[in-house]
Amino acid sequence: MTKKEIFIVSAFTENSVWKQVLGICSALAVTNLMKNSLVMGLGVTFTLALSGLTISLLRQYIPKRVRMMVQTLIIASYVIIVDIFLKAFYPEMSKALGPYVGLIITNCIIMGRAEAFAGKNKPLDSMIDGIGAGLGYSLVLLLISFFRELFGFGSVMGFSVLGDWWYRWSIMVMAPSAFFMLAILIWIIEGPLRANRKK
Amino acid sequence: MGKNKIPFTESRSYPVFFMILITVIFIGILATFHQITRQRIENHRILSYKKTVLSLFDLPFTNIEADYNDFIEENNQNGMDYLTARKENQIIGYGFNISGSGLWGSIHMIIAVTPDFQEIIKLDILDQNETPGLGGRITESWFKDQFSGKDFVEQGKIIPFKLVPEEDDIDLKEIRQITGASSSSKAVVKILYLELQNIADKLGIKYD
Amino acid sequence: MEVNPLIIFIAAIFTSNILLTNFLGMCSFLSVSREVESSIGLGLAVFFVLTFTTAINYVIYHFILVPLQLVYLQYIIFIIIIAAFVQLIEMIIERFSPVLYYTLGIFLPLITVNCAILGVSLFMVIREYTFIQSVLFGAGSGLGWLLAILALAGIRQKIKYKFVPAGLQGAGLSLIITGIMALGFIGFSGIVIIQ
Repeated sequence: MTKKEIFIVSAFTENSVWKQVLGICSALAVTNLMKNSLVMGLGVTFTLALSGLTISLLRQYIPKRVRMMVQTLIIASYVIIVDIFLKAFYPEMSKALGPYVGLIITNCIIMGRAEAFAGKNKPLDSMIDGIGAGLGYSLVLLLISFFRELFGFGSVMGFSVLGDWWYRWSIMVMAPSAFFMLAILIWIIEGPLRANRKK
Repeated sequence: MGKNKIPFTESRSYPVFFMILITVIFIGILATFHQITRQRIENHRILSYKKTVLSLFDLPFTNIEADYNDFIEENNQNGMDYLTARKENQIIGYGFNISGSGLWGSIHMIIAVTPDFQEIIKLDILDQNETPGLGGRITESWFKDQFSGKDFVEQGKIIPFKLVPEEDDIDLKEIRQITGASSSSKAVVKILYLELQNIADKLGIKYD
Repeated sequence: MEVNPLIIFIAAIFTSNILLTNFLGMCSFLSVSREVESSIGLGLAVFFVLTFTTAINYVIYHFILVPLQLVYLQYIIFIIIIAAFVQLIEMIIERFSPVLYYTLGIFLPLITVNCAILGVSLFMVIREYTFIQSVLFGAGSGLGWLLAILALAGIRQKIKYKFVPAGLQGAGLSLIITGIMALGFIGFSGIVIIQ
């Protein structure tokens, strides 16, 4: 596979969210605002790319028995860097995201990519795979949060677009809507879109 | 162990050695990164607090550090910390840090009241852990600004504000609550009520 | 924080279920909920690990990390404690109770990466809980998680052979069911009034 193919495969065709429904735990809760989703997506992408690179660089040296521990340690370190960075430069955002930045560690996508790709491939490829998977993930978050914020707050990225006449749908701000939005997204992608492609 | 010819990477102690090495390296990187940014985070916290205080009293904050020292005096009476704001040698109000439990954790707020301790000048939320997008909206300015200019004394007693639905128009003693987050809205009003009583108690303020 | 620990316990089970309102622990929730039996096994394991790791992490955080000013390392420490605890329990169970090992032990490796476990420890720190509050919050969250996965597994078993539109099979439908369950759980919000 060329680098471009790796990117496209991990970002779209094999997108972890809609193919395997991985990694939604850490971020679904912040998808009621687009800004939070964007930062969360970037944080995951950063962690994915660099942990992929690091694990791939070390892949010949990591002893099999402590593999999981080493991966967790590497991932956690990058997440802490993201956390400190947000605290130092975007304290407001850091507060808004609360514990969810730390929960990137247990995002199954990162562990999954480390196991499935970075442990077996060249460093640069692994990094591209990580960026691809991260951006694919961010895309899903942004799509969900776009609709939740639009209907729930009448705004996009914090800018009011629907005006005062819009009656805010509280349900869109609350948790259940995230489940429904994700289900609808998966339905559209796995159902009609996939069926069309097969013809 | 020592004499057979297994390469080190296959030996039993290798995983332990590797774990320790990698832990040391990564913790080292993190510690350095933390040290570099620590001062910045701390400064930022103090500056943003001071800026909040200044903006509560509608004071200028072009040079936060100097302005804070010029206008604000930190006092303590009967174990109660409070801030006194002066402008042209005239006391324009008092500031108090108040806190209490919200739906999920503590809510820390800061309020400015008029010198006669009758009216809220402004209220700001310093720290809260309410649900993002729901209770977290207590930090939105439309919610906080409702408290400005509100008189909290009635017939010689401190009274709590009444909550009304978000869409309603508000009266003098009423606050519009956040749809879907009534508990958090209630918490803010309740903390305000309890803490105002506490402050009046400690500072010996009486209304006749 | 002067909230009654028992209220936190009840709230963690019903009104703010860690899974249905905070989406934590979704991955294993969706993949294991096919069968009621394995759901109970995983649910119990989560409950058990959650209660104990919250207690351990509380002690470590307040008596080691805070005094040594190492709070910024909390993520690494928490996840290592969780991983080590899970590993330890797995070894103990394997040695002493083969029966328990087959009902509970096989799910243990899944737990380290269950976001709910780390999530509870992080929430405990952010919400400034006391020790008792933390432990009851952990136990309540574990029970709430067990309740949610059990309910989903029951429903999925019932509709196993029913017609489901293409594209919704599997994850899609599970998410919709979970969404409806989350709506239902909002109905509980009246039972706990946090001052």
